[in-house]
Parts: sequence; C-alpha cells; structure tokens
Amino acid sequence: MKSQAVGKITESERDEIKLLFERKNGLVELFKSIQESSHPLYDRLVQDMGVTATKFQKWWDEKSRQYRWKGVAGHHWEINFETCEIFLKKDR
Amino acid sequence: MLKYLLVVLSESSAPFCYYEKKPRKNPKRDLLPLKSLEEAVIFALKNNLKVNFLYPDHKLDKAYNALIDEVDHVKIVPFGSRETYPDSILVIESDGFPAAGELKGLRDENIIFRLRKNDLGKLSSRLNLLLMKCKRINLVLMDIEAYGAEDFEQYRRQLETVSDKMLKLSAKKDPPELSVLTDRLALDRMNNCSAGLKHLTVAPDGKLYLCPAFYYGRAGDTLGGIRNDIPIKNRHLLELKYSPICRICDAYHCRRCVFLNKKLTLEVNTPSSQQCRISHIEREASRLYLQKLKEAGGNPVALADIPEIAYGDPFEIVETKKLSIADFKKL
Amino acid sequence: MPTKDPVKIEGKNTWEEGRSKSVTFIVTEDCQLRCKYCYLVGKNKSGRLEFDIAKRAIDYLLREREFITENSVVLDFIGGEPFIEVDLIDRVCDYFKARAFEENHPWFNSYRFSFSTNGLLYHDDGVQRYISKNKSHLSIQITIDGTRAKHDLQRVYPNGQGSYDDVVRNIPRWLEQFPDSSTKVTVSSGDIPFIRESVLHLWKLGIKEVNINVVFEDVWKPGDDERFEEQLVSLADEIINKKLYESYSCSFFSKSLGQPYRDNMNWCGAGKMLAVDHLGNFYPCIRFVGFSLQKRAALMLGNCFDGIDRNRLRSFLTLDMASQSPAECLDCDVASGCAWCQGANYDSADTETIFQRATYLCKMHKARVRANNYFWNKLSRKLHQDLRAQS
Repeated sequence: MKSQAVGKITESERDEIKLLFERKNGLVELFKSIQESSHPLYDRLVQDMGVTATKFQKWWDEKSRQYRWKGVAGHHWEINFETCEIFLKKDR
Repeated sequence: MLKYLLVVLSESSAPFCYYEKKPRKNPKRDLLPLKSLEEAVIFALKNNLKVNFLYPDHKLDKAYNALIDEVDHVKIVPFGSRETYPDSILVIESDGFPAAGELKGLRDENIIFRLRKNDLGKLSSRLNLLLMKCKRINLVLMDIEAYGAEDFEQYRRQLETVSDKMLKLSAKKDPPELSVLTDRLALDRMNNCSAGLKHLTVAPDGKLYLCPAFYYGRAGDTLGGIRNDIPIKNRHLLELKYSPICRICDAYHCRRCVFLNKKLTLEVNTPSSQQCRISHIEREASRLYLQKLKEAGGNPVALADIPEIAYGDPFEIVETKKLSIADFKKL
Repeated sequence: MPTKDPVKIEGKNTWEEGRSKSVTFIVTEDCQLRCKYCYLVGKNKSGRLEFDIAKRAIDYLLREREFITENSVVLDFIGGEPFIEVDLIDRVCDYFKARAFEENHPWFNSYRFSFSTNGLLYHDDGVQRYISKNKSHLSIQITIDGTRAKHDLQRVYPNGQGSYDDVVRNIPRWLEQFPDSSTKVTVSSGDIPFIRESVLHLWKLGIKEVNINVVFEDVWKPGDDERFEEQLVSLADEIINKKLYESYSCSFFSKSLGQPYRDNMNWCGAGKMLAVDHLGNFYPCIRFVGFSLQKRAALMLGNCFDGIDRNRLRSFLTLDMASQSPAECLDCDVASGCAWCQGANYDSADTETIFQRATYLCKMHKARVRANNYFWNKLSRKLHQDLRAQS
C-alpha cells in the first residue's frame, strides 16, 4: 500500500530516533546470540532492552503530540531517515 | 638538475647520514673498483658536477688519490682520519665520541655529528664541546624511527640548552652554524637533501643509487651503471610538488630524507611522523633562537621572523585539507 | 517512499557513506568459482581466518577509540566466497555484538555486516540461520553478472562450467528477504557486447539497482571504447523509451559524471578502510593483500598483535588526486567520475608507490561520458516534453 507523508522532523530529532532504532535492533539481535540466562551479559542486556523500548516509544508519543501527526487506527508511523519525513503506513 | 655526485670509496666509508655502514671485511676488496672511480670522475667532469668523496678509515693507494685529484671535490672522512686528510668534513659518532685530548687540535672544522638515540641526553654537552672548534656542525639524529613522546621532549630541551650557548657564541666575529638551529633562519623556501634531484651516489659496487642509504639500507633498487641517461622511475615523486605533506610545510631546513621516508612510510614522498616532529622541534627552536638574537640586537635583525604555529606535524593539516588543483598547478 | 523526482537511475547512497569505518575480514581465500576477471589471482584452501585472530582484530578496533574515530562501522566479510565460512562469520559477529555492547562502544548503535557473495550457498541452512539472526544489520549483495551468456562467460567453476543457473535460483529468496538489494556487475573486454541485455535482464529479475563497473586492469583492446559506448547508448534508449528510469538504477549513468575536476580528493578510500587477512595482518584494503597482487608484494599496515603502523597510513591519508595523476588528467574536461583503484595502481606502477595513477580506463571513461551525456540530454528533453504535454 502507499504511505502518506504526515510531517517532517529536524535532523537532530532524526538522530535521536535513529540511534534508538539502531540500538533496539542491536539489542534484539544480540539477544539472539546470547539467549542463555547464564551468559554474563544476559541481565544487563534484558534490562537495556526494556529501557531502550521505553525510550523508543516515548519518542514517538512525544513527537506525535508535538507535531500533531495524523493518525488512523490500524496504521503506524514510519520515518525516512534520509529525508526526515514521517509517513503514515497501514499495519501489515 | 644534478649538481654533485657522492662517491662512496669503500664499503666501510664513514656513513655521513641516516644509514649504517657495512662491517669491513678486507679493506682492499671493499674498495670501489678503480675503473668505477674513473668512470665516476669522468662522469662528474662531463656533467659539471662537484664530487663528495666518502673516505674509509684507511689510506688509499696512489692511483685512487690521483684520480680523486682530477676533479673538484670535498672529502668526507671519519674523525680518526683527520690528520691524513686535513681540510675535510669530519664525521663524528656519538657512540665513539672523541676524548677531550683528541679535540684539542681542531679548529674551524666542518663536522657531521651523528647522534644515537641513546646519547640524546648528552646532546647539548657534546655540542658545547664541538661548537668551540667548528665553523659548522651538521647534526644527524640516528634511530629516529624509535623516537617517542619523551624523546621529542628531551630533544626540545637539549636544543633549548644549545640555543643558549649559541647565543653567547653569536657575539663572535664568525659564529658557528648548527644545522638544526641556524639553517632555518635564512631560508625562505625548502632547502632539503634532494637526493636523486641535486645529487646521485656511486656506491662501492660501481653502480648509481639515489643516495648511499639506498645502497646500504637496501630500501630501493639500483639505478644501474654510470651512464648519461640515468633512469629514475617516478623521479617526479622526489620533487616537493609531489609531496602532499612537505609542499605545505615551512620547516625549510628539514632534510626530507627520501630514504627514511621509504623505510618508514613506504613512499619516498611521504615523511614519517618522527621526521616531521623532529623538524618542527628544530623549527620552533630556531624561531625562539631568532627572537633572542633580535632582542640581543645581533646581526640577524634583517631576517624575517619565523611564524608561530599550532601544529607539530603538518600531516595534521593536510589530512583534513587538501590543496586545490589550481594551487597544485601553480607549484 | 514516494519522492518528487521520478528519475531513480542514479541509485541510493550506501549506508552511512563517508561516516563509517569499513573493516573487511578476509575469511577465506577459497572460492567455488574461478571467475576470469577476478583480481584474486591466488585462490587457495589454506588461507582461512581463525576465530582467535578475528577476536584479536575486533578487540584492537574497539580499543583504539582515539585513533579510529568513526561512530559507525561496516564489517565486511569477503573471500574468496565468504559464505563458505558462515559458521565462523556467525561466531565473529556474535563476538563483535557482545564486545561492542559490553564496552558501550558507539558501534553497537550503528553497525552493519556486509557481504559480497557469489550466491551459490545462499539457500544453505547455515546461511539462512545466520540471516535470520542478524537480519536488520545485513547488507548482502549477490553477484550475478547479467544474462546467462554474460554471466557464464566469466563466472565459471574450475571445470569451466558456468554458474548462472546455480545463482539465479537463489535470487527470488534473496530479493524477498532484502527487497532493496543491489548487485554488482563487472565488465571486462569480452563482456562488452552483453552489457545492454545484462542490465535489462537483471532489472527483469527484480534487482532494481545495478552497480556496474569496468575492470581497472589493462585488459582493453582497440575499439572496446566504441563498442562500450554503443552498448550504453542502446541501453539509454531502452531506459528512456520504456521509462525504466522511474523504477530502476544503473551506476553507469550519473549526473555528476564528465565534468572537469572541481576538487582534489582521492577517488579511492584505501587507507580509510581496513582489511584483515587470516594471519591477522592489516591492509589498506583487500587489493593490497598478496593474493590480489600480480606484480608487487603485499602492502601491510600492521597486524592485530602490534596494531597499525601509523607512518604507513600517512601516504594514504594525504594522497590526493593531483599528486598521483598525469597532467592530462588534471586538464581533462570530462574528468569527474573517472575511477581508479589504489591497489591496481600500486600493482601496475613503475615503482612501489600508490602515487602513480594507471590510466588504462581513459578511453572507456570518455566513452561512458559520451553515452551518459546522451542519456541525460535525451531524458531531460523527454521529461520536459512530457511536462508540457501534461500541462
């Protein structure tokens, strides 16, 4: 389906969410490597996953309120990291 | 344009620069063949070249001396041969530094002083002794590849001390020159070793090299036998224009040793960090020395000040800012 | 994402281009294929990266934060064929992730694992397991050279048999997993007649971005430039007539191509990148490793035990275009986009230097520029006409 542009953010805002996005993915994929709870990094990793997920969601909540992006049920927002544009996209 | 020829008369000739000589086997056998010497002399005569002969610490046969006398030349001899070859440039090694008695007879000498890293702490005291007997000292810092932050700092301090001595001597009628302190004062452009451009070397094997170090150090190939068209591949890389670091630099007195460049950075046109740092310590010492000379109202009041700079290695500048093509073409 | 510019022919920038450190791990010097144009002239089975060496290299890279300052990293796994060693790669990636996380290194928040593969093992269970484990950090480029005729002309098994069928069967799965993927096509003298059809064929397979370049070595025959130009002009016509520029990209065409030089930057990133061989030696890039060189000895920068000899990096980091180019290149009216490879230059230079630019590609570049001009002039006129027709 086609996505709809609903806003644009600043480059520094883009950098904030890009870092959180990358970290979130990094943590998920590190978790796939570690898995065993006996691993020395396991507890730190699980805790970081929780903290990062919270920060990630908070960013979207704050920015959507700040910029008043259009929202529709069954849809989500996505960002183009190159252009800083925000798009509304239907959930899969 | 070639201006002079270096002729290394023996494998064990006094090394006068950054390289080490080979251990002597048989003095006779280690000599440059007489026929090669003749070729070198004729080549020099045909090409208006002066010759610097590098002498071993043993006497040469008459035939050699006769050939040498056929051409305008300078003799570079080990300190031990000073009496055999008066009016020569003497090479003194820091690890075989002459005893006080041996220095007594010296007067207005031209000296090449090769300082080992281990003797860095003795630099100012050694120079203080030599400066009284010399009209010029060329200082060669050996083992620079092993220099680290502490050595650089020690060298800076040593030059500071020497500078005070030089200042006192500057009141004399003909004060001595110390390459690393006084050469920069009068220069307004690069004045470097220029191996391969201003001079070539005939090594004891009778072949041509960029300089003796390329023969002894095996860092480069021979240029072949003595002949009219000397093939120096990528000769332009020896020129200042083609050295991205050196062409923006104003440590004009720096040797820009292409042998050390090749050895340490793998490129003849790229100086090592150590070479640049040492030359900039000397540049700064020269700057401060000139200031003091001017304050003392000495002779060099007409010399242009050396600007104060914030870097100790021009690489820091070049890495972030490339010369424009237009500026490159102007060089 | 929708954009206003309908012309997509120039493709996308690579991830964190110019801001990331690229580190190439040569995991094996072995490959199932013996591609005729391959610069890796010394393939062998013994040069295999050990995990301990890779660990040491990663530890060194993470430790040297003051020296290696980039905030992003691309760990590039290359061979030979990298997926021959997928289990090793998996361990190396796990180690990198854990160490970067443990050290709170900025690279943990900005890394990619990158692969150039011949695609023969793409369906392998081990490869697929690895992909699912690291999916959001992967960039995988399967090399398929175009039509069966072009591909099998060059990309052959040791017995001479072409590899096209074994690769093409893996393309759908690859594109399903990585829809925005690109492929890299290499053109040597004998491939020229197949260029047009090959690019069109790859697009038809669903590979929307085709990065294509001619080899840097001295392989070109008289008339190759004219044949090359004909192929590109014919391709340009097809792209414009069928409006393929709206959906596909081909690196042969670029607006920035064919201008006089404006800056003095080096074309090649050797020295800013780093390659690690199976012994833990560091190189400016893979093209300086012994098995990539035909004439010269390897040029090493150091190793994972003693670190990088920074003196050896100085020439790479200060090398500019003007200092290595003949005068005719500096005065060339169509110079921009004319490529060179530092390793190939080093290998073919008259002395052991990176400061002598090989110019074997001169005529080929000029041919490309003419075809490129033809394309953009023709496209611009067409777009203008289309716009007028619409209004």
